[in-house]
Amino acid sequence: MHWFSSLTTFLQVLVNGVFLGCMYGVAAIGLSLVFGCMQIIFIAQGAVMILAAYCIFWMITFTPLSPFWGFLLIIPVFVGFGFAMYTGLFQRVAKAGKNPSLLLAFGLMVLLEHLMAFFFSSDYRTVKTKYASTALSLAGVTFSVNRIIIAVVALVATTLVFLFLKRTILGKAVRAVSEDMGAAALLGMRPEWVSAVTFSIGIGLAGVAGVATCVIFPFDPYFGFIFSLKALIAVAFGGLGSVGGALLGGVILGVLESMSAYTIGGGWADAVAYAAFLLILVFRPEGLLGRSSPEKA
Amino acid sequence: MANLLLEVENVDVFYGVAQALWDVSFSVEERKITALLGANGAGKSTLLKTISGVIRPAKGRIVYAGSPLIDCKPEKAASLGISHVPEGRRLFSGLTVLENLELGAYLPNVRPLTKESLERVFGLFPVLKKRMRQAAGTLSGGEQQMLAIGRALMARPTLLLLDEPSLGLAPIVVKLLFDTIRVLNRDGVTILLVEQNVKKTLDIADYVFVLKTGVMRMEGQPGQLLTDREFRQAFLGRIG
Repeated sequence: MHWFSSLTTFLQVLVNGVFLGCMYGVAAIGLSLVFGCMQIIFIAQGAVMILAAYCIFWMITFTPLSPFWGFLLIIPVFVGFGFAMYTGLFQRVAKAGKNPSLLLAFGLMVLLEHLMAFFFSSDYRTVKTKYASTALSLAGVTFSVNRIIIAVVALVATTLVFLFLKRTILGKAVRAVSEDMGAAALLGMRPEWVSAVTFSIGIGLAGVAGVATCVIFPFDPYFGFIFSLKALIAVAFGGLGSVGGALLGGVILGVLESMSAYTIGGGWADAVAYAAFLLILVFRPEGLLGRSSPEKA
Repeated sequence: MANLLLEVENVDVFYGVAQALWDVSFSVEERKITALLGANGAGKSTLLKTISGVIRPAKGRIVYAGSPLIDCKPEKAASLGISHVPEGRRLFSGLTVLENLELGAYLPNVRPLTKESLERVFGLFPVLKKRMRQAAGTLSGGEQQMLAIGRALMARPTLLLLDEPSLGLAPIVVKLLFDTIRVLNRDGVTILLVEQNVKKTLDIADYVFVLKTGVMRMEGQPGQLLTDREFRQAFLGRIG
């Protein structure tokens, strides 16, 4: 156990944590949206992220494009992928209940992981950006350009999803269907269509999170699972059903990990995160930021 | 013969293996208030759900505005002008009052009318305007029922199905709701009302059907039923 030697060190660890947390946050928003339409934890979220990471890896291997152009490519492709996945697979299975959907998500995760291992090998891959070693410095705290871009993308993605849910009629329908599918149908909303839209956005966000991940971490086909767990913890921190809460939950998680890695040791970061997760579930199941909602009649 | 907006013909409905409705037939006249009375568990809500497509009948058919509803889902029924205010209101409690109302006008044919529809609903229930930005879950029971009806009206329904709007509400609110139902009907909305409040219902209904344990038992104008011995015994608790 050792404490921060100076304020600068503390700020640096804090900043690193916030950046790490932005990635968790984007994945968490996706997870939270998908939970809204299917009432299951979409365990394959991390595998989808890694698939996006491989897309970027191959894109920079074969084209001169910068990985950050990948956001423009990944978002439409993964939204489409999500739509196909929902209408082709989950829509049919959802009729049979939650458990089959959960099993399907689990199967999808394993399938994706093994397909990626088969086609791309299990080697670690890294995505280097031109600015990988560029950093800005402010009062002795360094901000790597990579991470700043990722944080900006995270904020933009969160804001767009937030505005979509609050300002557009389709976004409001998404929230309505998550609350009460039957009542939404009585008002003329087609629950399957609204759920497909929600799921697609969730997968699109997983893609964004994947791009963010690959420029920071080396990855292999199985690297995603831990992100599914982290996103789940972030959602638990923020409280289900709140977009801002999910991002903030991710940031809290990132800071917590970064702080504990520095003070207690790197190997402890995950242990602290899971311990905090358990404590939250026991003492504040509605999330740190979530309000306890009145029971539905 | 008056125009029939809705005809239910020989309908059987099951929940799993349990039969809830037996060979039920009845009809709703255009621009009238038709009421369905019956004890708890008589199948009134089931009948409404069958009309709005939530449950599919095992036998029989439902004819709406002259054409049969075949394999009709709730969203289809809604698009045909059937608005169902379900039992227990089923508001989106985390959404604001305004958002709930806006979603009432979700269908593309009525969405452009959202603004005017809102004015109309706020005219009927001024308290909803005051509570516009509040989450629906924070409203009182009466206000929630007003919102549920308001939300259904946003769809500009031809046929409004109301499932026990007075349940659990204070008498003064019940009076307001029944007055509103009458106003809506005068404005041209056909109403099918399910109720347990027999006295109030007989006051406003043009025609009444009585369900008993899944079977249509009696029908008639309120005046006729009031002279019926069996009806008085069942609903008014006294003979003579």
